[in-house]
Amino acid sequence: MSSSSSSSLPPCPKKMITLKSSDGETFQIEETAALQSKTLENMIDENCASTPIPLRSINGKILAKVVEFCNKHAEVGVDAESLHAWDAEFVNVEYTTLFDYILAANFLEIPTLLDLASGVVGDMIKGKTPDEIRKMFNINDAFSPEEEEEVRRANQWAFE
Amino acid sequence: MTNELDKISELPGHIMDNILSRLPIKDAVRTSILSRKWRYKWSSVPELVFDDQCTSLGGVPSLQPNVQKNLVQIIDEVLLLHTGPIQTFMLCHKGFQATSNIDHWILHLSRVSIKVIVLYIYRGWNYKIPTCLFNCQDLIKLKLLRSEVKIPSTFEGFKNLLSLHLLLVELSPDGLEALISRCPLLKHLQLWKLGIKQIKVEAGNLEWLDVEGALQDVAFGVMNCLKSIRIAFSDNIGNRFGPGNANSSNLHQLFRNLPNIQSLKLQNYSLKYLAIGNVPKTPPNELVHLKCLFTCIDFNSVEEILTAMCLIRSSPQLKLVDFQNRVEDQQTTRIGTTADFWEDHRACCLEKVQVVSIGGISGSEPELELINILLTCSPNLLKMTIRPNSMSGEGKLVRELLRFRRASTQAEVIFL
Repeated sequence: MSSSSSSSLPPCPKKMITLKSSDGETFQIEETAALQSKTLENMIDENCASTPIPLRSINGKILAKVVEFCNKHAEVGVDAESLHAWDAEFVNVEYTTLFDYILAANFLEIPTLLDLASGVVGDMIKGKTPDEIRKMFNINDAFSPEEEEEVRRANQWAFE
Repeated sequence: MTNELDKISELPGHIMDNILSRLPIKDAVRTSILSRKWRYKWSSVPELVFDDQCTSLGGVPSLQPNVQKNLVQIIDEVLLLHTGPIQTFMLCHKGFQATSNIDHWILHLSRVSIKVIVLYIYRGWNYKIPTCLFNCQDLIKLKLLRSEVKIPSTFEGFKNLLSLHLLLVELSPDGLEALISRCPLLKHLQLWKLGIKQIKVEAGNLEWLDVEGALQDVAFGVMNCLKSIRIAFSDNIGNRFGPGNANSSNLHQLFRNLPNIQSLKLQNYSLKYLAIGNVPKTPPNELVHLKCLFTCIDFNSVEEILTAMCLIRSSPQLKLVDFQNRVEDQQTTRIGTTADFWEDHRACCLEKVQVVSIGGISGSEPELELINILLTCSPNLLKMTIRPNSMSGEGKLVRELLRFRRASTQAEVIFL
């Protein structure tokens, strides 16, 4: 568990680790903030975090935001309400950026960010017609009318 | 726009499951029509919730007589088409009536490492829960509303169960004990109107307990982890002694095994139950962690007031106190005349008490005395809220209140 690694940390000075994005940008993040990522936690535990950690699937723009998210969530003394408001603002972005957050959170294993962004996508789908959803997310390999009829028949109740 | 990638369809399966789990099941199933890639995406959602939205038409819950038939068919179809593990099966549709299909569903769930089962049977009584439920070894949470449970003799226990909620469930006292004792990790327990008059609970890891019903007795074994407890004796009880030693009080019996209680709610006639027996005058120092106390109280009862005062004085960490008058019709005061009844309590110091709330009072002497003591003995009081009942002569009550000394210079007294 994370407690074992955090308890072994010296209280001071702040230990920093370096992350390197797919496009070569580097970011410094405090180890305590980085521990929200299971992936980074494992690397820290295995002493693989002393050199810059290359993250080939995450570009600089997204990594900057992910670091910002981890820093915010590692802050001490933030009350739940203001953090909630901060989170809501954080995910108030283009849906394509949301998917980038989701993929980054998935790769880095940051459950709080993954749940937050997935929740927004869920809310976007909720209550919409198939056409609206297709348009919103640019989903294109639609069924032919015959195929569509078959899918409808298989789950009739959901389309009533 | 057309050049933009269809990013959502390429998300990894477990992320898609996570997203679709957040939708009402009807919306999730409807995504099957979005595109070829989406056809079966919904079928691996790990959480299946069948509630009123399943049968709603355009967002309006359907009240047609064939709702039951539709619902059963929907659940059958969803379970048939579903692939992969099911973590949560929740059936809480208000139109749902007990049907033998439940047996098939639970059998199916017992084979797919189900973790959470919530089964509300709103219509029809005494549906016998099939024994295969007791084979669900991966269960973490089980919540049943209206059914009959018989623990099979072969039941080996729910080794992973953390949360058990039995609401209007019929089962024997022995069955209840057997069930609880075979759930070693249990943290949350709710027993609501079980028809058992004497409830005994012992669960070493329990943190949260909620017991309500036409109770006559409750008994708790050693539960060192228990932090929060709500007890509601919903029916009036006689002034008889509990099953234990007649020299000891129910109050003492009940709390001696619960050293870490932080929040205590005593509803309906629970305080009357605790007042039975020999209420200790001096604090037993058993509630050293108690921070919140809510209690319904009959201000005509000397025993109940004594018990409440004993609870308060036994709780050096108490921060929040809430009294609700249980008796609508306030009798003439019987105890106010004995001035030394209160004298003993005036000497105490409620160091930590910050918030006090008293509701439903009419301004009788015991009520005012209690308010007086709380004001006099709480040097760090921040807020006292008083909600009188409609019968009270407000003017007199306010006049009396203004007269009381306040130990705290910060205290704000709010009269609603």
